[in-house]
Amino acid sequence: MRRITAGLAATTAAVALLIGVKANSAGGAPRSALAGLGSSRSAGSTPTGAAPSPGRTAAAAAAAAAAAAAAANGSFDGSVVRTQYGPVQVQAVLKEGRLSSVVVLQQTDGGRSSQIDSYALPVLTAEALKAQNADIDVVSGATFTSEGYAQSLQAALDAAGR
Amino acid sequence: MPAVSAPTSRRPRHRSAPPQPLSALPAGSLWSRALLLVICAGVPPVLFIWWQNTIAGSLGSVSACLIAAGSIAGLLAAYLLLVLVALMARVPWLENRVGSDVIARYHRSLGEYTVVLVCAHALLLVVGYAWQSGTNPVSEGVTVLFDYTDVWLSAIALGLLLLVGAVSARAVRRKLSYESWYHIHLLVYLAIGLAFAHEFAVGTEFSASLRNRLLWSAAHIVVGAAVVLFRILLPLWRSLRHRVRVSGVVQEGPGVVSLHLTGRHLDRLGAEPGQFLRWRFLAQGHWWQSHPYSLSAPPEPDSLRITVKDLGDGSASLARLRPGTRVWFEGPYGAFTARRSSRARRVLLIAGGAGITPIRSLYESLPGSGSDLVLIYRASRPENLVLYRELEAIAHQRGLGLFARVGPRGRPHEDPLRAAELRAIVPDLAEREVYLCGPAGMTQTVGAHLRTAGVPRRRIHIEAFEL
Repeated sequence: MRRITAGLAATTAAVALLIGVKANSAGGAPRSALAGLGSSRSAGSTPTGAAPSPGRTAAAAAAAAAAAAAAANGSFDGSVVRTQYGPVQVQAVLKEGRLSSVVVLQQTDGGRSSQIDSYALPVLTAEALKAQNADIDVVSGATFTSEGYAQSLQAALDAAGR
Repeated sequence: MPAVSAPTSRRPRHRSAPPQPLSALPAGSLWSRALLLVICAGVPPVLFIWWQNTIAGSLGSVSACLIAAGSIAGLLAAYLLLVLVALMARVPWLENRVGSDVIARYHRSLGEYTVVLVCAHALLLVVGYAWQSGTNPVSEGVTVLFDYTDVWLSAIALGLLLLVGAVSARAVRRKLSYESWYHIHLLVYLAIGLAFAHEFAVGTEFSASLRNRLLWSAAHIVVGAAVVLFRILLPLWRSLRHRVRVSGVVQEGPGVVSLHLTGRHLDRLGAEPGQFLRWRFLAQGHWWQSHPYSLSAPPEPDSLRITVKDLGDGSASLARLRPGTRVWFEGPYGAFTARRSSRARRVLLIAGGAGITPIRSLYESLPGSGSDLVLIYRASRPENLVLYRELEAIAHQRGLGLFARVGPRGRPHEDPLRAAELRAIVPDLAEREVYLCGPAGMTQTVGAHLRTAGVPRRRIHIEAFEL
C-alpha cells in the first residue's frame, strides 16, 4: 500500500510537471484565435482547413462586389472550417458597414465539444462585436471552436469587402 | 524434535536425471527488472499521444489543467489495463523466467494503482468540465454520463473495475473462495471492452488521428491474441497431446494427498523441479475449476506427482478421485527452479508445511553433496511433516543435510526459524542461495529473518501460497 501511495504521488508530480511544460512550450494564453490557427496548422496535428460553402459563395462574392463601393449591408456566410470536433461556420450580419451580429450556422457536435460550444460561442460573438473584426482571443478550453469561429468570421468579413 | 543430518560426505548416487545446464546469471531479479523496464517503456509513447494532440495555449486555466490531467490519467489507465491483462496471459517466457509469483505481485500492485488512476480520470474530468462550464460537478457528471457518446458504457466499466478491486482487497479476498474471486476477476475483460468504445468516441487523441486508432487497436489485438493462445489454445493442445490421467491417490498425512499421474511424452513438457501446473480434473465437482499444484517429485517421462494439502477450497475431495480420471492442465509455470541459483553457490532450502512440495523436487534434483544442500523443514506438528520418509531417504542416499523444526511459531524470540537459529543450523548461511516456500505469512517472516542473518535479497528465492 505504501508503494502504491508513493507511486501515485510520483505520478501526480510527473503529470503536473508534464502539463506545466506543455502549457509553457509555446507562449502563454490568451492569444489570438487567428494566430493560433496558423501555429496549430504548422504543427500538423489539427486537420483544420477552410472550405468555401457551396451555393451561397457566389451570392456572397456578388454581394461583396456590390458592397465594395458603398458601406456593406446584409448577411455574409463565412467558410466552413473543419476542426477535429466537427465543422464550424458563422454568418456575419452587417448594417452600414458595422458588424451588428454573428449567426452560428454550424457548430461542433457531440459530447464535450457541444457543451463547450454552448458557453464559448456567446463569448466569441461578444468579443467579435466589440472588436468589430475577427481578431479575437481564444476562449479558454475552447481552442478549436475559437479558431474555427475566428477563421470563418474572417472569411465572411472578407466576402463583405471589409 | 527430530533433527536428521547425515554427516557423511560420500559421493551420492543421483536418482534423477542430471541437473539441467544453468545460465551463468541467476534468473529472477534481472528478468523482473527487464520486465519493469518494458512496462515503463510504454508510458512515453502514451504521453506523447496526449502531447501531440494538445495545444499549448489551451492550458491557460486551472480547469483546463484538471481536464488535461484527467485525460492523461485515462490514457495511462487504459495502457496499464492492457499491461495487466498481458501480465496474466500466462506467456511462458514471463512465467518461467520472471516467475509466476513475481508476475502476480506486479499484477497486484499495478492493479491497485490502475484502479486509482481510473477513478482519478473520471473525477478530474467531471470536476474540470464543471469548473470550465460553471456548473456543479453532480449535474455535470449526469451530463457527461448521458450526453456523451459511449461514456455510460465506460461508467459500467468503472463499476466493474471497482468491484474487481474490492474483491481483491486482502480482507475481502480471504472470505471469498478462489473460484468466486477468479470468476469476478474475468469481468476485467468485459470492462476493457466497454471502456474501449468511449476511448475512440470522446478521446480526441484517437478520434482525431487514424494512426493512433490503428496503433491502439493493434495493441489490444496483440494482447488479446496472447490471452487466447497461451490461456486457451496451448493448454488445450497440451492436454490433448499428453493424455494425463490419475494413476493413484496416496494419503500422505492429515489432509494431505499425493496424486500420481501418468501421461505420454511428459519429458517434452520441459517441466523442471520446483515448477507447478494448473490442474483441472475431469470429474464431477472438479472439471469447472483449476488449481495450481507444484510437482512434488522431479518429473519423469511418463509420470508426474503432485501433493496437495486441503486448504478448504475443495482440495480435500481430491482424495476421492478415481484412478483413470482424465486431467487437463496448463503449464508448467514458475521460476522457482535451479535456474534461479548460480552454479557455484551452496544451497539452503526452507519449507513451511505444504510448501514442501516444490522443495521436495528441488532437494532431489539440485546438484551437490554433503552440506552443499541443506533442507530445513518446518511444521506445526510432527504429523504435518509430510513426505518426511522420502526426504530422509534422499538425505541418506546423497549425504545431504536435513533438519526438521516442529512446534508453534510463538513470539518472535521463540520462532524456530529466527535468524540466530538459522545461523546455528547453517553457519555459512549468508553465502548461500536460499529457496523458501510456504504460506505467505511464513515466507514473509522467514524472509526477514534471512536478511537479518545477512543473506542478500537477490539470493533469497521465495515461492509463497495464500491460505
